[in-house]
Amino acid sequence: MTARQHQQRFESLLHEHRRIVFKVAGLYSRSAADRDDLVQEISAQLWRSFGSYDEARAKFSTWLYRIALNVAISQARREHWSEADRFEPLDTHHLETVGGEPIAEQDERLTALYAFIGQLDPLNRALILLYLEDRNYGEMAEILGLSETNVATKISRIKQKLRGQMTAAASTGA
Amino acid sequence: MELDEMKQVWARMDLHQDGMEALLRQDFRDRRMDKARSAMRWSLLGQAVGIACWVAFVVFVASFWVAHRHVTHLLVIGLLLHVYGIAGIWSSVTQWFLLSRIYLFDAPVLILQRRLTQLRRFRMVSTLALGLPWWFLWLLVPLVFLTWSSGTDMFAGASGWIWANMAVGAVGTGFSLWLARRLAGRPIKSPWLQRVVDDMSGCTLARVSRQLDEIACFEQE
Repeated sequence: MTARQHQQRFESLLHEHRRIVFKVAGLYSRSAADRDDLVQEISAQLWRSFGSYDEARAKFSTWLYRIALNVAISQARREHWSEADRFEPLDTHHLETVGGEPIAEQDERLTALYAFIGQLDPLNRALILLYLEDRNYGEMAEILGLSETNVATKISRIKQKLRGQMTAAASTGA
Repeated sequence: MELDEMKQVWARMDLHQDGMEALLRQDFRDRRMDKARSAMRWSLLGQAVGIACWVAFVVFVASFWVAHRHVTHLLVIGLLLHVYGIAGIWSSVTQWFLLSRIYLFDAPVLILQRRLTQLRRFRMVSTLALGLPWWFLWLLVPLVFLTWSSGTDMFAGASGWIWANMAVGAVGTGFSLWLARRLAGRPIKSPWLQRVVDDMSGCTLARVSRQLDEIACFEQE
């Protein structure tokens, strides 16, 4: 395969799976500028590693998730991720629904979703992202380096935590 | 709201992608991607060159103390530099090995994050261990070179002055550590200086150790 064909193959695969990059970058950045930087950083790392990508060993999406999450988590840790630095929701103009429905008309659930994700540390955030992206436990385990049982236990704990928070919020509001 | 409900909200939400897609295309047009790829290769090559330099240093120092083994102070200085050079080789080889295990970034998240944190911890500790001795080495290294190149034994001619500077070095080492601890936690404008202070005061080590604990905890919970 020539260098040009190699690049074309990479660009085509990246285009096909670009949403993964955007979602990961969106979830680990605190502003639109941060997010754009992270998109560039992730895609540069993907290109660096693409020469060693072996489709017999892993699906492209699995490989991509690993690299994107590794870059995003490393960056978050490098920037002294702390309580004070926790996630802030993206500006509304950076979000839209698939059908083009303006964000303002979405119910408050999206805000609640982002607020919940915002409390999580970088590793749990990766776990919840994979869950929300509807990845099966096997693939989540392969991406994160955990056992499937461990993934299932963690998801169950997050569900419990969320339920507890929602109950607490409802009783406070009442 | 249940987690499964969140999944539905998530599926309906999409990020505004136009700007980001343009960024990706622009990166390839500007050859930025190729530069990123070659930068990584240069980084590994740089480490390899570093190892070669340390080996050359050790060979030079070994030949120096062997040649001056009958002069006690030159033998001792040569041996100290020899130990320092071996520590330098060990540090560079270890960093090269750790870097080569992570540079593709395609290992499972927990494995890679653990390796990356170990690399950061090792790099920080070895930079301190190899950096602080320069309070003494700034004098001992030129002394060895001067003796080797011109045969002039500085120590024999000005031992009092050299011992005085060694004492200043000991005080300087202690002062550096004390100052770093005093400045730790305060905002410093220069990111470079901030990093030095964090490294020397032990803040970086504490943070990196905490991150390793977090990873272990996440794995075991």
